[in-house]
Amino acid sequence: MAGYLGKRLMISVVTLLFILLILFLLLQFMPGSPFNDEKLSVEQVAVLKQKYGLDKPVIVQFFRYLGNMVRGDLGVSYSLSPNTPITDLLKNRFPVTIKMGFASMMAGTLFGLILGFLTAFFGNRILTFIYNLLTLLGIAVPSYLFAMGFSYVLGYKLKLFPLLYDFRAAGITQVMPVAAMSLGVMAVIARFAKAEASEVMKSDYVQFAKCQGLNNSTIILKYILKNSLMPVITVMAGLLVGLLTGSLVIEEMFSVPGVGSLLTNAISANDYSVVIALSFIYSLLYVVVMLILDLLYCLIDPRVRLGGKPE
Amino acid sequence: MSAANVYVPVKEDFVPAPAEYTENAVQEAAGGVRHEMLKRFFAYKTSVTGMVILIVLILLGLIGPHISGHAYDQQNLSMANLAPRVPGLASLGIFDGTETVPKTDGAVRRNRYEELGVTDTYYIFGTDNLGRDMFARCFMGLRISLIIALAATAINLVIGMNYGIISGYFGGMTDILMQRIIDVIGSIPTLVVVTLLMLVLKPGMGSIIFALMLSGWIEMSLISRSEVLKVKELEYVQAARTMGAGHMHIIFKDIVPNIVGKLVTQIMLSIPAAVFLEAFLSFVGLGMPAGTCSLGTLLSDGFSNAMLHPYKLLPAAIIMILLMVGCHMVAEGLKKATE
Amino acid sequence: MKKRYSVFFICLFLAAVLSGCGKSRNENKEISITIPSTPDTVDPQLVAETNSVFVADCFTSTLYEYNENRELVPCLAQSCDISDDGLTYTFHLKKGLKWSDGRPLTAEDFVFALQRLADPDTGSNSVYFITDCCSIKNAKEVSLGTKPVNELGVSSPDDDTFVVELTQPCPYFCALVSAVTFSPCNEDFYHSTGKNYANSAENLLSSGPYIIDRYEPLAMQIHFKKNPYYMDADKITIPGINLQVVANQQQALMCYESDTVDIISISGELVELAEGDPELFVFPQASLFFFELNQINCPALMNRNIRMALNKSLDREDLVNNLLKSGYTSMTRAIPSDFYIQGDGTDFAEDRERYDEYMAYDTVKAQKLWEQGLSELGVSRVSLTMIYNSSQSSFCEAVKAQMEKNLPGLDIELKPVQGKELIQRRMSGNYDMLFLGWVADYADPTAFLDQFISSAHDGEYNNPEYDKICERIQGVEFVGNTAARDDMMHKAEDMLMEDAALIPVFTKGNTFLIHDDIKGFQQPPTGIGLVLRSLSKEVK
Repeated sequence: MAGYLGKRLMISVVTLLFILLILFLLLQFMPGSPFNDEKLSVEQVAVLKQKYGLDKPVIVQFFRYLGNMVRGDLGVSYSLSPNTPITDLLKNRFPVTIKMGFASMMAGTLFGLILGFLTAFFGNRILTFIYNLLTLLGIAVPSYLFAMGFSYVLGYKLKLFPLLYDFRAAGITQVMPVAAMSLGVMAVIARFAKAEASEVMKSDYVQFAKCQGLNNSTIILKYILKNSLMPVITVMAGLLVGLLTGSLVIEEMFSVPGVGSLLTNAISANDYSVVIALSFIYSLLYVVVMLILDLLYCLIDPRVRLGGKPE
Repeated sequence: MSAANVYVPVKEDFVPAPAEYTENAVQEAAGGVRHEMLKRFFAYKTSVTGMVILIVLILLGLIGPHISGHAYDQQNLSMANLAPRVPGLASLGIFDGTETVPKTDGAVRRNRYEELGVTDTYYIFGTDNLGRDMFARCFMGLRISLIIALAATAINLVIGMNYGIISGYFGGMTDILMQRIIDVIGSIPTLVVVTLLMLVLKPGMGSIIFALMLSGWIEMSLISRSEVLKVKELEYVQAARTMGAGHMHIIFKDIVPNIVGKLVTQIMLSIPAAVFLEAFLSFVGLGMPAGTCSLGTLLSDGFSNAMLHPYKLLPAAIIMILLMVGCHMVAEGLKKATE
Repeated sequence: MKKRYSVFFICLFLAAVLSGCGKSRNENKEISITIPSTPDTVDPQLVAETNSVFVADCFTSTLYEYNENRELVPCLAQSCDISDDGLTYTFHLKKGLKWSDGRPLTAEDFVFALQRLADPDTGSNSVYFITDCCSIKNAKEVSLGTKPVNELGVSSPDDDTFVVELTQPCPYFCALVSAVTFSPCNEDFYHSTGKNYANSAENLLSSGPYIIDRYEPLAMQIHFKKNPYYMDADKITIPGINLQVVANQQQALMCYESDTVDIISISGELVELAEGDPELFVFPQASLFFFELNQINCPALMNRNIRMALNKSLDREDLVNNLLKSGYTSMTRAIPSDFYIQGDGTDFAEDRERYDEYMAYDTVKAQKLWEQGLSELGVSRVSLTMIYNSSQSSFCEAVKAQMEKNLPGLDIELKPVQGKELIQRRMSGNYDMLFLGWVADYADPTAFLDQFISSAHDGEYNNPEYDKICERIQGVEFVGNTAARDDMMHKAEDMLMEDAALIPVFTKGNTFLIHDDIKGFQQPPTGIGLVLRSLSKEVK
């Protein structure tokens, strides 16, 4: 167990270092520099570059950045919000994005599970039709199209929900963006839950329980739900990170002050430091989620605990 | 018992069976499985529906841009922003180019064909803000998006399959090393890689394919590897190896046919993913360059003015949704058929 | 069983619906305005792009200011004495000026503000205001770090007198100082915030009608409340302003129509939905959108006939009427109208057809010039790369189609770029044609003319004669002789147009939707920023 843990941690650290190096190298090829204001002279640009250390060799810049990262200093924004530490920019934005991602995840998972299990257990015609419709739509329609539809119908025509995010009323103003994002999650979870539940229902031990004369609700709760929920956790990790990154367009639409809208702005403003920092944060998040997931699996699955590795 | 009675094997006894013999046996077995798979696939309603949708879309992608009588890039500013007008239906009063404009001081119904005096002109899907035919553009966009998705998936398949097979088949240090590389590369979120690459590369179809390729092969390789690990231990593969078949022979004759089913399912899931990602790139302004079009650029163009001209968004959105639905239906059918 | 669940869900839905009914704008005395993107900074000495200026204008005052009739009037200054050589400006401040925390606002605050602007450590993108738009003594040297900050030509002999020394006369200097960049900054307060000046509401002092009371870097919502220490505080009737960033134009329009915001700035195709609506206002902006022609690196564009053929092959009216629509006006000259009033009281650019001979759409002449140009160059085909910001894609596609249709043998390669790459390419001369929108920072034709000087870091027009004229305009020669200076500026523009040095295309206004109970919303003539003092709202 400890050996596996150590190995897993090592991989994560190497991955992160590798990511940093790649991000840094990629950004060296980025067109434009952050100081290209129409009205600045060449000398003035040179002075600005010197101030931010952009005139130093690439390798020096990289190690300096690496050192700062270890100390938790993500650097300052060059052009998006000049001289503002990126950690300051993220301080209020990160919770917003995380909260919205988490809410979408929870809503999507909850409704997905309900839809999936109900269809698996009582697969009547109407339910199956609803299941097919919702899962196909959820998978086939990009979240921003949902967002626009919701805005127009629920926000503008019916005036049920506010059209813009407002931090003073974060709950109600989040309804539409969260709904738009959670539909995709719901579809994936529902399909997975249904498949797992159907498989477990066919399994020997459930059949055996049935033969023993246990009643249906006991079987469903004790065997089927419990055993089919576990694998669902595995898809959730990928979905969560997908949500965080996929919320770029949604955040911009509803004016949500989150990380996604920051990244879109940073890309168009050529703000190197912000793009590096955000890409790294996203990668870090991804690596950490994967790590936690692996460890969870390690705890749950004895085969892994005893020195194997999850396939 | 004397030594003379014992049969001492000679070298000639260990000659591999004639090639055609093993080949035929394996092929027969595999062919039988494949035949069974196809039968199951076509017996399943969902997969057949999906297949039909995909075939229709591919045909439309091939001929669609050429049948409306307008080129997809032919501009005509005086004919800009026309609503759909379909020959035949127009005389019935539907799809005759009349649109309701929800102006801020009250909705207005107007027919720009009549205003311009061009009632004998028909644009089935209407025109865009430069007066280009949306019908031709939509199917041109479909074609471009399909090319991007298919090319990216094909490259992914080749890289991923080979990587996975080599890693799984040879095992040992090779496998460990190759899997560590995957651990690292797979931990970088696709979106970050693709976005950064698109910023660095010059915009265009090649760049989008390259960016999609960099992230998509990992899933393929994982699938191939786990299948190889399973198949490697199967009796007939062991037998083939004992009979002295070479690595290449075993990989291509015994292993590859066995993983085709799962890989095709994965391909069917990769295509929608690629189309989605391409559309996302267009939304953040990193998609196909101006002058060309793809489903993504059409969606993002229509998206920003959907309130004013909903007909610019709907056809492209419906085409994309159908493409997604078709691929997923086929994938589901394949999954059922291979189980 | 099933029924009970559905009742539960209906209750949940109703609860959501009821809480969703937000407050309508009519019940709110405050005004809420949408802006299309988040300001990069609100530090008055750092602001550069229009959204930031918009925000900074709410909480700053300057020596001079534009009023609701777009006239320049003294604001923090009482009067201004100009020396005979036009090089020394002495501003006399009003008495009893106060910052929003009650501390006195003195001439020293102006000195510190400009020293801060020039200081290379500040790293301001707006430093060109004092090095190029006008040239304050030693500003260039200070900005490059070769002279200490205290040698900048600004001083405060006493608390109420602020003196600026220039190295070149600048007849529009009083108009120039109406820009937020010239607003005061208190040194003690600045140092008390450490490195966090202008990073949050607490780290800002207001000299204007409103105090910023909720702000964080790259905020999506910015809130202002009335400044009780403002000199004309009794005339300010709006208790607060809420600036809301809405990048999606459609979302902004829906908010406006559902009465959740008072004023939206709207652009693009959606303006069509508001056409003819009495609530749609177009404020002229001193802008010139044009194609810059690289006449140094591109052999074909060094030929005047080719340049003129390109100009004459462009049907600007068609583009403006059928593609760009409301708020856009076609341009066939370098200076927009309604921007600079000459010494004799007439509009500098009143005659919009003045240069039609070289610029106006005429396919026959264009083709003639084109063939002549091709034969002079000895080629049969010309291919040009067109660089533009990717947000201008449809427009540039239309231009390409028009030019290629009218000029056989022309190939234009479209190259949209993201964000600041456009500027980098412009600075390095890496383009053939480059589409650029230029907005004047001050109401004087030199704001447009100066960018075609060959020594200017941008612009690829190279004509020593033109440089000489521009130098004379900026020199001491015309101090006190506005008419002669105006003539000289006309001469400069004539030269540009006769040479077909650029392809002017259109000028663009700022379009706003303003509910009819809001009165007195106005923008300065440059089209950058806001005039807030006269804003009022009828509350029903």
